Amino acid sequence: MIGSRMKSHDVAIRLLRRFHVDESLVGDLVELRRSGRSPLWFWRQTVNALAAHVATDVRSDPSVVVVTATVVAGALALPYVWTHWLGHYANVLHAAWYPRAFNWFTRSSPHALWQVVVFLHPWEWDFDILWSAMLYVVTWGLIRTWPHRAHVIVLIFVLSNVSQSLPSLGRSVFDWSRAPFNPVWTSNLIWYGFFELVVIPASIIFGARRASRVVVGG
Amino acid sequence: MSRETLGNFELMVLLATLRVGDEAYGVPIARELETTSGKDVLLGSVYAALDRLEGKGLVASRVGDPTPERGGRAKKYVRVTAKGLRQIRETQSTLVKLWRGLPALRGGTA
Repeated sequence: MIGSRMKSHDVAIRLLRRFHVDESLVGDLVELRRSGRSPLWFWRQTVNALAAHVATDVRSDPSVVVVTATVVAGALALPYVWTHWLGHYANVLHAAWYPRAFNWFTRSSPHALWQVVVFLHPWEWDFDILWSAMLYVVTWGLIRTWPHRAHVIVLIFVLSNVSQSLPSLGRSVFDWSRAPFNPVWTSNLIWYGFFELVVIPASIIFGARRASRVVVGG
Repeated sequence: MSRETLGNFELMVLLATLRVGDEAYGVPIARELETTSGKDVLLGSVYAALDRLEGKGLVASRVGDPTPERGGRAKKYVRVTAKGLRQIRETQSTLVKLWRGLPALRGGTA
């Protein structure tokens, strides 16, 4: 496996296998890729194979539409649930620790330490950690309910969260681009990007793995 | 005539399978379709069509031995069943009847 082209090919194969696409079809794609077809051709075939597989799945078991609709509705409703219910507890928690920590730092820390604190962006930690924990629990619960739809659930939750965070992430990039050396904008971008693109997808995937282990283990 | 109808792409896949013969599996079927239509063919669509055709009993499949050039994966050979052949003939007969005597298709003018 040399070079990024082979790695891209491997990722596509892993994706096909994850979604239980017919091994003979995967073999055909590998055979044609080795006979000189381009990586772009391979990815186009992969996306089509996944779409065709999902369509066949829906035809053979229409309940998948109900599961998918429920998961999509759940993923879209979560921010509403957060804003009108769980967010209140996050605010209470935030009010309990943040002003005290902020006052203590401004009074007692030297300037260099304050810079580090700004960079670590602590005023968002508890909200992001609680949101990630909620996603972990919800993903876990959904996969316990529909263990055979684990990949669909993970895909919808990751796509839903990433797509919902893109406008804010774009704003962070815009703010940072106006003043790239401003530590507040830089830290804002790094931490926001880290939570939205790494921590949140990871909490969904870990929730799914945990649920799958429980299901497999009985 | 049976109540089952063949989609355009399903019919093309059936005919390509017949043209390839005993060694028909995804790759040569897709190549046959590409050669005759002059368009790029998506293997996922070919497999989905084969899956539907197998469900209707128009093709039968068997799994071959795994080969190294396919990363150790086996080929899925397909052949058209007797029911499939009957269906092709019926479809051909229907299409020929519908084609016959259409002024719009003579000389390419509507």
